[in-house]
Amino acid sequence: MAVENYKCKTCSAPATFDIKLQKWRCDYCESTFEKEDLESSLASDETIETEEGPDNDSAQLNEYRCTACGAEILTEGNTAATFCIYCQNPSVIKSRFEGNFKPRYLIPFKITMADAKKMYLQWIKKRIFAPSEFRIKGKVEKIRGLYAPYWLFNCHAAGYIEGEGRNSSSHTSGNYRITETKHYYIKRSGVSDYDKVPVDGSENLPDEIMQGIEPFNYNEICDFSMQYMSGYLAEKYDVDSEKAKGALYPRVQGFLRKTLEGSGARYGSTTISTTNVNLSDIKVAYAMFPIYILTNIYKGKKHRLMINGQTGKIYGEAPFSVMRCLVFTVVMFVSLGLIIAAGATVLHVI
Amino acid sequence: MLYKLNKIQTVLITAIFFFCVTFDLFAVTDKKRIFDDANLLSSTEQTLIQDELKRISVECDAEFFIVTRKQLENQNIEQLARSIFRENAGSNGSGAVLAISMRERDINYTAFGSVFDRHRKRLDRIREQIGTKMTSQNYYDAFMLFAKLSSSFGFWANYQEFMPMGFMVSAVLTFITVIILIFIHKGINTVDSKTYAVLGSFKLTNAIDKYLRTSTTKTRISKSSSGGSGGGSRSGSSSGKF
Repeated sequence: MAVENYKCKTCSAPATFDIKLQKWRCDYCESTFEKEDLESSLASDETIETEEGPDNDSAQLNEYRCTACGAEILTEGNTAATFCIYCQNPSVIKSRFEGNFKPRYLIPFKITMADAKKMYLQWIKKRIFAPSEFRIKGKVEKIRGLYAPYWLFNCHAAGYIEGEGRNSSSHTSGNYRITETKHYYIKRSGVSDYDKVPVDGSENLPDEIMQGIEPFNYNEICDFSMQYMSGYLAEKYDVDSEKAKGALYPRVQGFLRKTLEGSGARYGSTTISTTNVNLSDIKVAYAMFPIYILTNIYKGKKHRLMINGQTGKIYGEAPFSVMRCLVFTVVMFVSLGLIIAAGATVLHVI
Repeated sequence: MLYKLNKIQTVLITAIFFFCVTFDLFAVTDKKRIFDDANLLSSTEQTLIQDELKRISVECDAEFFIVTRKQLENQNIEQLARSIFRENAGSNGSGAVLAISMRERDINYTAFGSVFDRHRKRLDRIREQIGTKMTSQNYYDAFMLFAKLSSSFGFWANYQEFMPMGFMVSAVLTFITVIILIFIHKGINTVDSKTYAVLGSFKLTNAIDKYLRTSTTKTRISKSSSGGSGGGSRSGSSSGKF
């Protein structure tokens, strides 16, 4: 299997991408390099070339030899960048970024691992119903950074919505309050273009959570380069673009529906009975976006939490303690009830 | 010695006799506080309520009356309450009257003097609470509640009264808070319909708004009125239906 190691031009130690510098840095002599420096280094370095696995159809292989210590390393079928489990040498499995698996775009990590840990601790503190054992620093050590595969879709959407709009007004007549509601048939047709709608390309990453850490800032998107993978875990897609369209359609249909609902004459309330949105001119690009993942296990159930590696947005399944929820509810109910009664009494007595 | 003792005993007995007669006369001439022309109460119930009204009258240094009528004649319910109070407690006294007219289903709570000062902000609430008992035909309970609410003064008495309302509001606020906290437990989804839309690309190609029909709903408003009244004494009244 073809493996690439990006090495320091000064001391030949592994060079990894430094988030704060947005350059590649040697962990040993602390030299820093631009992307072009590493590309020229790789081209001139003959010893860096790879060990081959038993089969050149490398996308199917799951074994490679570490170029630093020579250990045989097993990887999962989708792993595209990883570390040697013995010497921690970062390796990028070149063949998993080639051909159909070569990404078009990439967003580099902007949030460091330390920042991600701090953000998680701040976030979990605000989750009142999260069990206390998940608020401790020890749990944070399990966070890992990953370049996740995404499909970015450009498309044109056209469609319409039908439904009923209602406007109500009230007046009093004698001892009665009269509420009149006028009902209207409404139809809105429209078109819109959408740019780089992301759909994650991994079966392992839950769509709902991946959508929760959006949006990424596309102003910082750049062309893919394997050097960025050095020092991080990365996965290649296992959901192809055709399958990913299955997730694209409802998202874009929902976008256009909401836009149509908010257009034209306004009503006090609306009920949409029919939605028909078609997509055309669909173009797709493969991209790698940075995320941090933390998996907590609570009462035998896995809870996944993601952090956007570019913006720091957090979304996920924080463990939920029913007992904490009940205690909070009872304490709030009783204390608030007593306070409101006291406040009302004071206002009354005054 | 025997003669002397008998003389002392005689004096004591005489004193006790006079005391009892005076007390009895006082009791016999005790002010009537319940005028149940609508016959809502049994005689036992009337006695119990009369005793209770007498007790709180002494305790609060005020006069409390209940008047029930089968129907109103030549006066409204508030006028009835005020006339009963004026006839039995004078124009400048303190106290409260609960007036009921069965035919009109009218209920009135009128407070005077110091009782009005203490209850001025809750005349409607007192009337409504008693009205609820009247609606369910618990007349004895309704009149006892009048005695209880009229004589409850001070922070603790009011606090107890406001507690059910406080817990009701608290239940709603707690429910909303917990639902919001559960809802945002995962985080907040910030992607909306404009996030990935190309700026300026949306075009509304057709918009139809066609009138279909008008539906009307009627809701009965429960009427109540309250307010102060003129005259030499401070007073306020709350009237409604039960």
